[in-house]
Amino acid sequence: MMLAEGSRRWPWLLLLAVAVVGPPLTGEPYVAHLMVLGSLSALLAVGLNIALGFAGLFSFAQGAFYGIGAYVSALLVLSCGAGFWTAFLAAGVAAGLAGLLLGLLTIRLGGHYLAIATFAFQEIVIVVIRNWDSVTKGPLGLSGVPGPAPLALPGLPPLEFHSELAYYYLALAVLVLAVAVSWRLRTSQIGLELLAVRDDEVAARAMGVRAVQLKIFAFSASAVLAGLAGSLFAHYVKNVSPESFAVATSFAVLVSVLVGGLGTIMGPVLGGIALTFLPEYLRVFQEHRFTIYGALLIVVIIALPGGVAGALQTLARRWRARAQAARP
Amino acid sequence: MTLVLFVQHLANGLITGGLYALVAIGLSLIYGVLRIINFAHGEIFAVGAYLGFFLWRVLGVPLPLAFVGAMVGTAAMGVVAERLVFRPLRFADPLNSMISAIGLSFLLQNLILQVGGAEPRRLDPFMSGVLLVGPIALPFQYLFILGLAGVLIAAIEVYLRRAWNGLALRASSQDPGTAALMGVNIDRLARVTFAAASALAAAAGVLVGSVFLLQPTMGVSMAAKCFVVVILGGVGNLPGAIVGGLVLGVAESLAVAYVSTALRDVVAFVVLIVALLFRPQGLLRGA
Repeated sequence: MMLAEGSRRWPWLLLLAVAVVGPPLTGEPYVAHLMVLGSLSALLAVGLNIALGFAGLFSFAQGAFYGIGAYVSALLVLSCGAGFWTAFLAAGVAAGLAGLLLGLLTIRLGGHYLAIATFAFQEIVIVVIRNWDSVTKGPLGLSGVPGPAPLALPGLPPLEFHSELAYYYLALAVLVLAVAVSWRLRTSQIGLELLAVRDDEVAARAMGVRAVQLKIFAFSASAVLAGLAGSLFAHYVKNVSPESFAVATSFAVLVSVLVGGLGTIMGPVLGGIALTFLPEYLRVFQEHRFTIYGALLIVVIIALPGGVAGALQTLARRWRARAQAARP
Repeated sequence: MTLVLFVQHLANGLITGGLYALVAIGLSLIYGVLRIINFAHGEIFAVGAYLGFFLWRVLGVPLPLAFVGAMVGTAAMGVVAERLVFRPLRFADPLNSMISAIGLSFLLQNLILQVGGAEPRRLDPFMSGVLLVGPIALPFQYLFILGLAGVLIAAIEVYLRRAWNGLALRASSQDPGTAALMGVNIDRLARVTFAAASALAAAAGVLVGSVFLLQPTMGVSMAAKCFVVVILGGVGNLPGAIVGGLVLGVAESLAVAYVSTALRDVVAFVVLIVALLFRPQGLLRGA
């Protein structure tokens, strides 16, 4: 598995270095803007990966959790005068509770039924947001959401988040944290138990794995990350409306996780960022975006079930085996 | 007065319910025989509707012929989809074919949007005029739809019980392995299943287009409702799909009439969650 040994960590540290210094080097604020959105997509994908990749739970609800996080965060700041950081954490908690609810509702469901139930949950949440005019202002959404206030850390000048680049570093920090948590989870006891539940729930339960609690945990975890991403989104674009969190978003997250590599650590990150940048390069095909996503998904799932990261892992493994065989 | 209104709403609900049943039967069939959750079935319904519209409005084909043409064309598309999107994944993880179906659904939905345009379209009704049963007005078109849906459903039932292909379908849904040993050609079966399911969905599509509107998103809401119907009726259970469809249609109609129009699409989802919580094996016993 990736990131397992110190010697294999250097490509990822290199990637991180590129991620940190790359955008400012290009001197284009638009690149930083795209990287913000890419980081948020990656964050959503990392979240879905915990539910789908680790626990095998099909979730169409990432869009809904994203939306819950965004709205909770925005409302706390706009209506209750809360600070960004409080709202940010509250968004994660609120979404996590929603994930808990979804887990509880779907505990007896597997496979297809689960997928449909999460789809239903996603739709219900969006319909509620769209129609609860008194709170969410309906389809028009909330506007004028303020950005985060400058952060004063001891010994440093206050960190401002007005520019795209600064916000990108904030999003990147959250993403790195999420990836680290994801990796730690994967290699921990809980992670192994999740994988066991994914591969064969009955056998896992026979071995004493508490499948029910773990599945609920997986949904909550994926929701928390989506909620945090939602808060970051709300305070970046500074307005929230239901359409940003509809099922198309859940679908895009699914595509990015699968294309990137389900079950891997970096696959979802690559997928999320790639799927943010791809429309920019394919700007000509902007309106055919979802046709391409659909076709891409079909091709990838037939030819590359492990996604790009999976294919890279296989290649790396073969290269290493060949290198070892070549030694006397 | 209110009783009359109630019966009117009931009647409307039965009509939409019949259409839901028509599409849900196909979905149930595909799952029962091939163990594939065809997330793209709603889009196949939409393709059928738009194809019918195209044949009738753009090519000037008379409406009944356009109806048949839509069924045939969509059946062909269903067969192609089976070959390209589902067959390669026949022996893979069921999750993969579900994902592939999702990809197909988005592909089709966007294609419809590109080719058909975003504004709603409308097909002319097959019949005009209203039948008056006491104070209740039943448009002939609605009765025609119900009748046609009934005929198609009966045809499928007869096919399944009598024709060799039909028996093979049922045998495969019970035990694909043994059915194969008995000489059932799974490839051909898959083609037939998809063709039949797609044709039914297309029929429903054209009928819906004649009383409601054609919109690019019609596939999405239909897909969601069909899943509800299939789960209500029990997966693979054809009579269950019919009952489930009628139940959903009536529930929607009553909810919209007596509570709020915003609830139209939510009813299906709420019913779904309730059904999944309390009776995931479906309303009817047995398969």
